[in-house]
Formats: sequence, C-alpha cells, structure tokens
Amino acid sequence: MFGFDFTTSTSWWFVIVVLAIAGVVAWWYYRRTIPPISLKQRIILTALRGIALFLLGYLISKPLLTFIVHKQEKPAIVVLVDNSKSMTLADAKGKREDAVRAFLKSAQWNDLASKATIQPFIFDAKVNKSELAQVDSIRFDGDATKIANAIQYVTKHRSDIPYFGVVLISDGNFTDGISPLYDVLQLGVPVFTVGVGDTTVQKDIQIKRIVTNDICYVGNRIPVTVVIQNFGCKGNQVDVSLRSDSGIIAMQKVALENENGEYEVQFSYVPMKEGMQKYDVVVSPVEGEITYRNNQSSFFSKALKSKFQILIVAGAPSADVAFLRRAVERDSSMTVSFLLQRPDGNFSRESTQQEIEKADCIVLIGYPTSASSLDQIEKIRGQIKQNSKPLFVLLSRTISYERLSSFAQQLPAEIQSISAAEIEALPSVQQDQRLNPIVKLGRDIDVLSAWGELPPIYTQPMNISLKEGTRTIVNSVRKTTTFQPLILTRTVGNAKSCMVLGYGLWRWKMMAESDKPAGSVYDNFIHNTIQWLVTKEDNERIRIEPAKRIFSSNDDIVFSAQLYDENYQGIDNAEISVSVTKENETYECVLASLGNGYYEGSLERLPAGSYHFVARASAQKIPIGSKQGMFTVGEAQEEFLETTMNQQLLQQLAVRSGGDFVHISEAEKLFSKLNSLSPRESVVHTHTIEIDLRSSYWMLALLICIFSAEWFLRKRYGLL
Amino acid sequence: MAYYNRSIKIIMMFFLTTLVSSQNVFPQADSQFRIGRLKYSGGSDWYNDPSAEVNLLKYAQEHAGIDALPRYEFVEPSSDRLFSYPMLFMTGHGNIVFSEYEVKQLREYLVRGGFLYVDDDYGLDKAFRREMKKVFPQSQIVELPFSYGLYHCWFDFPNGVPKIHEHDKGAPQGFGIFYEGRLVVFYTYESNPSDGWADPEIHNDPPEVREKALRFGTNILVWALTH
Repeated sequence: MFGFDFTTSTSWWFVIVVLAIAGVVAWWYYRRTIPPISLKQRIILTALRGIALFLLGYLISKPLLTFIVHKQEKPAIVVLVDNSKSMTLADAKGKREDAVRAFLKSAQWNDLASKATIQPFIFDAKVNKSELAQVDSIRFDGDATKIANAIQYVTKHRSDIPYFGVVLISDGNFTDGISPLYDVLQLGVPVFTVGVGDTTVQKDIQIKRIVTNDICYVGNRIPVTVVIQNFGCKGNQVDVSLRSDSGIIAMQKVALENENGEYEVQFSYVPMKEGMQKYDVVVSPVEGEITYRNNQSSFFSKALKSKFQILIVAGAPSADVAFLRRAVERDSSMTVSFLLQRPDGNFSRESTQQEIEKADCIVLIGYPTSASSLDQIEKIRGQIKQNSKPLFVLLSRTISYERLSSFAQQLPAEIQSISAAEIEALPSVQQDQRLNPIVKLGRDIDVLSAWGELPPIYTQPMNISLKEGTRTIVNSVRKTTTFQPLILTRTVGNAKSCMVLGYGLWRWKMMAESDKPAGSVYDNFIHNTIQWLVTKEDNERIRIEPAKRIFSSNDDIVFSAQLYDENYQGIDNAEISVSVTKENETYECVLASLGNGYYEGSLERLPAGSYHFVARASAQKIPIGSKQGMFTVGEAQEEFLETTMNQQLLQQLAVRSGGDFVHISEAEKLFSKLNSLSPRESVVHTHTIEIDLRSSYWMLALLICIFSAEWFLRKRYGLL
Repeated sequence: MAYYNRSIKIIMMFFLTTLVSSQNVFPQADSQFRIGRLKYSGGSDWYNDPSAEVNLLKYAQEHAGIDALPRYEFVEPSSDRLFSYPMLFMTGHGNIVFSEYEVKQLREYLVRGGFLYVDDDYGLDKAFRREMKKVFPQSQIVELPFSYGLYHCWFDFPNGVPKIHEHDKGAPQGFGIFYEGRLVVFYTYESNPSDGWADPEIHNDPPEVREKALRFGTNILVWALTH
C-alpha cells in the first residue's frame, strides 16, 4: 500500500491574503488594454499574472512543503547463499553448486512469496544482493567464507524491513572471520540452515601447511617443512616436490600407509641470488580425490645478502688495528678479511682482486704509507671508485698523506697541509649531530656527555677543506675550544665514506671506565659506522610494490608507488605505467597520483599464474626510472582444506536462533517449516520528504515558464 | 690562478711528505706503541733485563713497521696508567703476589682489550699460575698448538716457541689464557725469549739465538697488535 500527505509551514490566512492581493493586482493591470483584447484573452493573461504574483508573494514566507509517504511492507525471508569455491566441490551425491541451484529454483519459493518477500543475498568475504531469477549467474568463486559477516549484514539492515526468518545455504565451513555462533544470537530471528555437502570424509590429499623462513640469506640452506594431510588415500604413494621458476629443487616420495593422517616432509633449498623468489610445493594427484586444487601451494621468500665482507687494510700493526678488528669481528653480521702491510710495501699475504671486489666496505688504518705499493693502492682505489664502495679511513702517525690523496675523490675532506707535531684532542659531538646514527649509544644514554667523558686521542694540526656532502660529526677539542674536525662523514650519490682525522682511538676502549656510558662508545662507534657505511639507502626515486605477493583470482591487482625527485621531494605530476606480463599476455595499468609523490592503481582480476611487472615513471616525457618485480595470482587453498560439510556448526546456528537445520536434499522440510510459521503482520513504513520551495529549482523554472507564457501571449495579442 | 693554486698544493704536499712520511723525521710521540713492564709484588726481580723490550721494540720497528717508542717503562698493576699500555710484559725468577685490587685491575685491563706477555725467566711458573687463577678463575691456562697463528703471523715458527735459554732441560712451551675467544695472556715456559732480547753482553747469547728471540718477540707484538 502507498499513500502520502501534504502540509505547508505557512499560515493559510497568509496564503489567502497573498492570493487576494495577487488577484486584485492582476485584475487591475488587465482591466483595460490597448489595443483592446477579448474577455477570454484578458482572463488568461490575468490568471497568468495572478498566479505568478501569488507564487512570488508566497515564496517570501519561506514555505516548506512536506510529503508524508506511507508504505505497507510484507515481512521478508532473507536467503543467504554461500558463494565460496568450496561449493564447487563434488560429493558422492553430486556437485554442491548444482544442488544449490536446484533448491533456489524450487517452485515453492513462489508459494512463500505470497506470505513474505524473498530477499536473496550471496556471500563469501562480502555480501551482495541477488535475485532468485539469477540463480544460474551465481559463480561460486569466492576465496573465503565469512558466515559471521553475512549474519552481521542482515542484523545491520534488520530495521528496514521485518524479517520472517533467515535461510542460510552453506557447507558450514567458514574460512575467514570469527565464528558466527555469537552473531546469530544478536540477529533475533530464526535462522534455518540448509546444509550442502557430505559429512563423510571424502578421498583427498592436501597441503595443510608450509613452515619456512620469509626472509633468509643468500647461500644459507633454508629448511622447508611441508605438512600434507591424507584422507582415505591409503596404499597410494605420492610425489611431493619443491619447485622454483628454474624447476624442481627437491622431490620426495611419501607412502600413505594410513587411511587418514598427517605426513611431514622436510625439504631444504639454498637461495643463490638476492631478492624475492617464489616457490611452489606440489603433491602429485591421487585418482578419485574430491579436488586436486589443494594439491599445490606457494610461498615467497626474500633472500638477503648473507654477511657483509669488511676488508681491513693496515699500514702496520698497531693498537688501533687490533681494537678495530676485534670490534668488527664481534658483529656476527660481518666477516673480516685483513691485509697487513710489511715494511717493504707488500702485504703479509697475497691480496686477491676478488677479495677487494667482494668487500662491502674497505677500512684503511694508517694506510697507505710512503712504502705502500702504488699498484696495490690503485687496485683498492679502482674498486672503491668503480663500485662506489664505502670507505672508512683512520689516520696514523706513519700514514703518507701524499699517497692517501689517491683516494681524494672518495674522502670527505682534502688535507691541504699538516704539521708533524702531535697533539692530544678530546672528542666533542656536534650538538646538531647528537642524533647521527654513528654516534648513537644505548637508549637513555646522553650521547654528548658520554662522548665528552672519553680520554683524549691524538691528532696533528692540519688545514682541511671539506668536500660537498660532508658532515662534521665530531670535533677535536683542546682546552674547551674546538680545534678542528675529528670525525667526518660524506654521502655522494650511493658512495659513502667516513674519516677520522686522528689516531689512538683504542684509548677510548681501554681508558674509559667500562661500567660508565663512555665505556661503550668505542664499540658502538665502530659498529655504527660500519653499519652506516654498508647500509644502502633506499634511494631509488621510484618505489612500487603490489599490494600482495599472492593475489587470489577474485582480487584486483593493486599497485602503490612513491616517486621522488633528485632531492627526494615527492613528484605529483608524473606518469607511472605498469606493464604486467605472463608468457605472451600483457596487461597495462596507469597509476593515479594521490599527492605527495604517492600513486595508486589497479588491474582487474587476472587469471591464475605468475606475473612479472615493470613500472616506468616519467615526468614531461623525461624518464625518471623503472622498477620491476613479480607476484602470483592463484587460488586460495583455504576453501579446499575442509571438504566435508560442517553439520555441527549449521545445527548450532539453527538451534541458537530458534530455527532448524535441514540438508539440502530434504528441502521440502524447510518449506513446510516456513509455511507453518505464524505469519507476521505487515508493517507500515512512513517516510517524510520536505521540500524548501524558495530554494527549489523547479519553482524557479515554473515562475520563468509563467512569465514567459504571459510575455508570449501579450506579444501575440499585440500588447507589445 | 687554478694552476698556481695546484702548484702550491703540490709543493706543500711534497714538503709535507718529506717532512712527515720519512721514518727518520718522526719525532718521539706519546702515541707510539710502548710496552709496560709490570711491576708486581712478591719479591721476584720484575725489573731484570730492562734492555729487553727496548731492543725488541727497535727490532719490531725495523722489521714490522710498528711505530714504537723503544723505552723501558714500568707500571704497577694498581695504577690507572696500566690502561695507557696496549701491552704489558712480565718476567722474573721468583714469587708473584697480586693484591685483591691488583687482580681486579689486571682483569679489567685484559677484558677491555689489553694483552699480557709473561716470560718465565726461571722459577716464575708456580706463582704465575696461582696468581692468574685469581685473575681468571674460570679460565684454564692452555698450551697453544704449533699451528696457532701467533707462531706464524710474521715470522714462521713451525715448532712453536723457540728454545732461547736452557732451564730444566724441558721442551719450550707456549700457553695462553683466552677471554671470549681472544688470547689475552701469552706465557712462555722453558724458553725465555726475553733473555734473548736483552743487550748481547748480558747473557752472551750468540747472534743467531738473539735473532731468533727477537723474531719470536716480533710475532708476539704483531699478534697483540692485530688481533
């Protein structure tokens, strides 16, 4: 039933007065015309003028038009249909999805329609409206079953329409979200659960879980534990294999000796290159399995560089050499190779080009000296320059500044002149560098005071000029006056260097009291400096990642990106295009700017498989950079881990809500139960619609039309 | 102008190089490597052969490039000056006694990174082992195998510690105390290399024996200053 009321906010007396005035003014205006017109014509014009004046006068009172709509609605039966992939499984009695379709097509729904409105919804991880007439279009392709979410959705919309009851059609296996048993109590209407599937265990073998490291180191052997679950495949033997893009890494045969049970298979692999790598575990199929889709599972692992190689090159044995070497060797993430120069300029052992090449950081202590071989210096310098290797330089009394100038390009400062006189100097961390990573100490330790308690080390007065990109972290202080820089760092592009313009640093370790903060400065300083030097800043100007490593076939492929200029300020006006390829198929996607250098974009669902993507960024047609990576689109395994119907849950849902449970094969019972329920009364819903006439465009249009009509007729009648 | 500046720099650098990098012009300086002779109590002659480490430091300067100050310096275990020496040397013929404070101080010295070389000049062994047990109660004094790096790090000593002076006709032995994997105390027994370091007229050792002793001593210094 549908009806409405009309009210106005203005007093009827006001309306009458305005109407009278408008009528009189209109009559007065058209009582005589030149040339004279017929009475009929005069009445029409008077009416038009009168209506227009009345409306104008009426609008002055800010009239509010109120429509009150009454609608009588029947109670509803909500039908929740499980749209997840587990509904595609085939039990002994046939395919679950076929049974659901047949049930929804039943003519008995029409009988129920006279009693209640049928409101079908399909649900997986989300809930969507559907129609009984569109049963064949249900795809049963959801990657998750979130029954609680579906019940919450119904609860949320309960106030819109009275519910007769809820019919839940599912296998009862929720693979996402919380248990629906709590939410069903909040619903307040009976839930009639329709079980789909079989409670007897079906023949199946599946990968239950994979346990391995998400992050590992190149060259280290990584264990992978695969747990496979066997249901009713006794007497079979399966091949369980671990695979990567390059093929099968390892394979094991597993004899399924029991009717049911778990089998643990141990694999291991050695990642040979840095970066993200996808691995698959595959179990060979056994004939008659309920599904083969849970026989494969994938995982990603990121391989990091195993250990940092630190090459220490010493001009001669010294306490600084021993203390620094010990401090570096104490760090388990670093391995040290050591070259010690003999007085004749050669090293105490043969240095190989490879060990210099492999070094992630080169530390020069008192090297080079005047005896140092120029060939050796060039070998080291060449590697530092060519590969932007980090450089850490500590001076000594016997260092050759002339030969050290071979490394001038990489050093933070150029030493222009130096005195042979040796002086003691205290370190003093620059106030604005107290948070610099190389001087940091433990939490709650005041960096400035801890460094201020250190004993003096030695330096020589020198004139230096700092290079571009150099920071002075610590100064040499004599008699409370800053004398000259002591510790300098420099970052230019990818190249980092640190230089200590002094020697005798071992005294910081030996002479500072170990139970005071100053006692921890030396080890922290060496550790922090090497760490800072070997850490490659993520200074790529384009950064782009897919939202997930493994997308389900229902997911949109979302990419997010960040783009920076040379000063690492976000670029907003660039174009970022992503090209996604799989074998011969290519998909293109353009990311949209979100501001501050952030971009986002997505591709619609992609077929299952491994994809490689290349993102290219350009601004004003000038390329900025590119980035590539990989992701996988595959089926969610969760939907195939439980292949039997969870009848217990469905029964509990029904009992708790005051409904009932039936198996889909006994659908007749459900309809008779629903029909036997005492009908609920219809509910009248009242909706109020208010219209402010003065701000209504329709009213403006009406006035324009009336005045236009009057003007047109006056023209026609020869009054203009 | 740029050419002029560059020329000035080259001339200055040449001058500095001549001034700074020649061994002969390095003046003595506090920063140079020195060995502290440990002045312990107990009655033994801690002070014997004062020329020993002086000669060793000269030798090591020449043959290993160690920037050393060849000077005889001694230090009491109770002194805070202990920590200004990266290496200590202890020798003698008799008893050693460390007070409780000295034990604590010596342990702290070694834990922080110091190195102690002890040479039994004859009759020091029993007292040394007893007193070192106080310093490192949990650590054993272990004999170092011939393959240990100290015997090969600069000069090669395939048979370990060389025999410099005869004491009880025993085989020369090298022992060590390790702290967190680092050799912190090296002890030579039935060998007496430090006698070989002393001025030639003191023990009248033949030149080849002195050379062997100094070479071995250089290995000790190089090991201590690189590990």
